[in-house]
Amino acid sequence: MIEVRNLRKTYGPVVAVDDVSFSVSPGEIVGLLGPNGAGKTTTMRMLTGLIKKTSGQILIDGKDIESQMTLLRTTLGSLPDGAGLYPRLTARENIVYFGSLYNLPKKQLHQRLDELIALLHMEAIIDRRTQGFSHGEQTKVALARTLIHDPRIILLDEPTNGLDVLTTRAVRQLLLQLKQENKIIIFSSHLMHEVDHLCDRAVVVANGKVTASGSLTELKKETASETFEDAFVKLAYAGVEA
Amino acid sequence: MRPVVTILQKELRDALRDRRALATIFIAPALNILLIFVIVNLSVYLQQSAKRFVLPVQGVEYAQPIVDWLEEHDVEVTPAPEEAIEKVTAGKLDMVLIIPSDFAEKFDQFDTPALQLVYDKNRKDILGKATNIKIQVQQWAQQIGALRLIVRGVSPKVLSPVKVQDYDISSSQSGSSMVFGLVALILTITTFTTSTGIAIDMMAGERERFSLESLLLTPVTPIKILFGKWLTACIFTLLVVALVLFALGLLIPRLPFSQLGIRGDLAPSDVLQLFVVLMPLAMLSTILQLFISISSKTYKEAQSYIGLLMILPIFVGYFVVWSDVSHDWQYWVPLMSTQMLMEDVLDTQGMNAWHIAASTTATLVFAFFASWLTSRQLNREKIIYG
Repeated sequence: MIEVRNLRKTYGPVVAVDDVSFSVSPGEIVGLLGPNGAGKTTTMRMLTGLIKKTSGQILIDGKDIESQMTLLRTTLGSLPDGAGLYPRLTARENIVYFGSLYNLPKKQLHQRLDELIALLHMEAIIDRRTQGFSHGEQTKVALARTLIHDPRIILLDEPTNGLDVLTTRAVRQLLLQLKQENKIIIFSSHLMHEVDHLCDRAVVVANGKVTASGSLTELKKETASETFEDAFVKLAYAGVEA
Repeated sequence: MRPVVTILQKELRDALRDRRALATIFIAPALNILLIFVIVNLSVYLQQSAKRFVLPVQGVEYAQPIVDWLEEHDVEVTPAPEEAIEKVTAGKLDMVLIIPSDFAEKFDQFDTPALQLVYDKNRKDILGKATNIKIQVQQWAQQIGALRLIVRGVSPKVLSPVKVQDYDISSSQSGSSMVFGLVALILTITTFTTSTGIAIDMMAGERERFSLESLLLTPVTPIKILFGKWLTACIFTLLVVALVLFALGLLIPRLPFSQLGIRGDLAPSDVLQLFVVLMPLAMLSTILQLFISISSKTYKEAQSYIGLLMILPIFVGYFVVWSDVSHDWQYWVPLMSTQMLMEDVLDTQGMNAWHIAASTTATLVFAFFASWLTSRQLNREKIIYG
């Protein structure tokens, strides 16, 4: 279980994340939503420990992440926004490289890789160099790279951004399977239909603050909206909307 | 250690697949080696053509002993053409030496016969030759004068109360130290330039492609990531340095150094010593490349900064080549010390153990300090979002 309490990040006078709190339980997919520049990516990066928080707490199973960084590295899989691949290596080499860096035993690594190839339908591209891959193909490989060590906590920053229908479906199916495997999944998006399809709960962030959180039905009810998109607009752009 | 090896394997494979970058690595050293070949052969050619110095003489038959003396001293004497003085005035002839017809007569009577050297003093290009001819003739005259005094029982020394002795430093040693300074410079530049492309790709490239964040998310610590990449760059650099040394080891003993009066061999043991001397420098140059690359956001930015870094070996190299003096403190300065050790190896004077120790220590201290700075860069938050 991940708990985020009063998370805050400032860069000099600029407040990137003001006050963010939420929690995610195993087997749950939580959408971190908000307009561009709301502080989603910064929040995600603080969850990975790559960026130090200014104040607040991030607890995993009740313990602060800073005290368990080594453990976090092996149990966390994060797909950053725009994650790049090594163009001169094949898709397989890209993924195996990371598997080795996660110190996976060879047999386990290749078994896991075969699973991911099947789940993401990568059979045709797996042994091609990634130079010239389409955006969708790149995302699939990056996603497989993120999941190669079978992480318990999964952070995905805009994973379905710019993907075609088939790829989006494959990613969606994969996420639902991971949910069944009792993973903790946080994903950020600004595509509301994606959120509608996948998330159990949503946390709406605007100007570095949580403006609403709850199940999608709750949020719709709260804002008296027909669709989640309407609800989101009311929650995220409160005061801005004409 | 395993992650370091994993990174090394990946980076080597990645670099070896970059065919175009690989090709460019070899172009500069190949051109440099060609340069040595051309410089040495050109020098030999120039020196040989300088020796064939022709002096037209009018009245060769009147003073055969002087003509013989000149010919013994690398001057080719030819009979002067008709109207020689007019031709010199018109600039068609450089100079002419005129021996008067009464030379023998005056000589026998202890009168001082005058030879005339006709040339244009304003022509700087022939001034050296003219002076040389005058000195040669005077030397011959002094010899005769000395003989005359001896015959009369007087020591010729009474005529020279003082004399100035030439101490020509453009001797074979100095000439060869220029050539070997060039060899050392080529080796230093090779050590500094070889891995630049690879280093930029491994650091700035990783930032530009946005793959660095994923790499830092693995359990591998930044310092291990850095060591893997550093090792890759070192291996590449030393591989190319070894190739260049091998090529020089083959080429230098076959160049016509002896015709220049220069000692010019490069024994296999010298090659080996040079390689050992260059090892710490390879560690330093590659970590500097990596440091600059990780501090740059893009490939292009890194390239322009590394271009500036290249001024360093060139500047220090020229300083060492042109200044013949060596002080002990210089062996404590990284880069300069390597350059000087290489010259010690090449100059046959050999290396001093203390100098090797000083140079290696200083270079490695700098290298590890730079690696600390680089791993600090990798730990900075800015590296991810910047």
